[in-house]
Amino acid sequence: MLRVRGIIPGIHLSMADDSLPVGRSSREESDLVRRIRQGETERFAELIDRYQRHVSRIVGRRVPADRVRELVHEVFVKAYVNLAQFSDSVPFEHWLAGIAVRTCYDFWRARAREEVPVSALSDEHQGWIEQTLSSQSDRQFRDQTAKQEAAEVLEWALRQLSPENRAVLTLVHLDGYSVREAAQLLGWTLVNVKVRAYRARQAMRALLRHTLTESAHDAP
Amino acid sequence: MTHHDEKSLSELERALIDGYRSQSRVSHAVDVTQDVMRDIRRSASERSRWTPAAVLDQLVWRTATITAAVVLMAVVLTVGLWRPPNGESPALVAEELESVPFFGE
Repeated sequence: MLRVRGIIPGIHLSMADDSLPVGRSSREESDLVRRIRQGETERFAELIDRYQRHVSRIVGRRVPADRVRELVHEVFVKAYVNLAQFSDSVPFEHWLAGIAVRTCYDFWRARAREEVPVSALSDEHQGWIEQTLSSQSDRQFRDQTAKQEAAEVLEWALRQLSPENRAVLTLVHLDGYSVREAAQLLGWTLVNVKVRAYRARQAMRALLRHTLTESAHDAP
Repeated sequence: MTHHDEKSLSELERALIDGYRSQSRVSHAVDVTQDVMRDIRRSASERSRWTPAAVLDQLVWRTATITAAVVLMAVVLTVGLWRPPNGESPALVAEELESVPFFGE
């Protein structure tokens, strides 16, 4: 299992993804891609079967559950249309992951244009924050983080970030990709990702700080 | 902000990351193979309609059809102009009329 140290000190984020097929030779894959390009269109189904779980996991972490299927579909159609641009110098799964990440980024950019207002945190979510912070043991803490409220509070915070900050924060701070990997996936420069990653985390911390201050004022 | 607040902030941040990672293990089982392949086949068939060979094929057929129509029209007009009229010509009729004396002459 490949483990990388995340930017947040003391937290190790796993990069392992068991959805990836193990032992596939890149030569075999390159050959398959070449055959599809030459007209064996039906063989693209093999690539979909092989990678749809991987793509679903990437997309599933980034968009609402009811939109996952639609975006996974879009990712594979884009991959097929742009297959001529695929170069053997990168593994197919990385190339596909880049398309998936950028498709999700486009999804949030479109959402941002719609300007959907973000509602305030509910009492249940405030309660979850208080309970999590007052956890007496690691086990209690883990139980709290496994709750649905954890995902909901995170989603609430992410929705208040710009699509760019959201994309970078998800890749670098949550998924644990390195800045270089995130830059490759997004197709941005290294400096841009580095600066964005810092700003995105600061924005997220400012939001959470504000939430903590409010909950402290509300407490009797 | 106090040290206690900063600690709370870091704890909350860690809780959210842990929560994200535990939620990420939830599998989003989708099977899009059939749908994607259907779209690909449709776009491939649309594209095949516009390959150079197909365009040339269409061009040849259209040109042949138009040429055939033009030739047909030309033949019809030519035949119509050069065909001898049915019965006598107007000049002959006039000559015959002139040679016949009027009543009383």
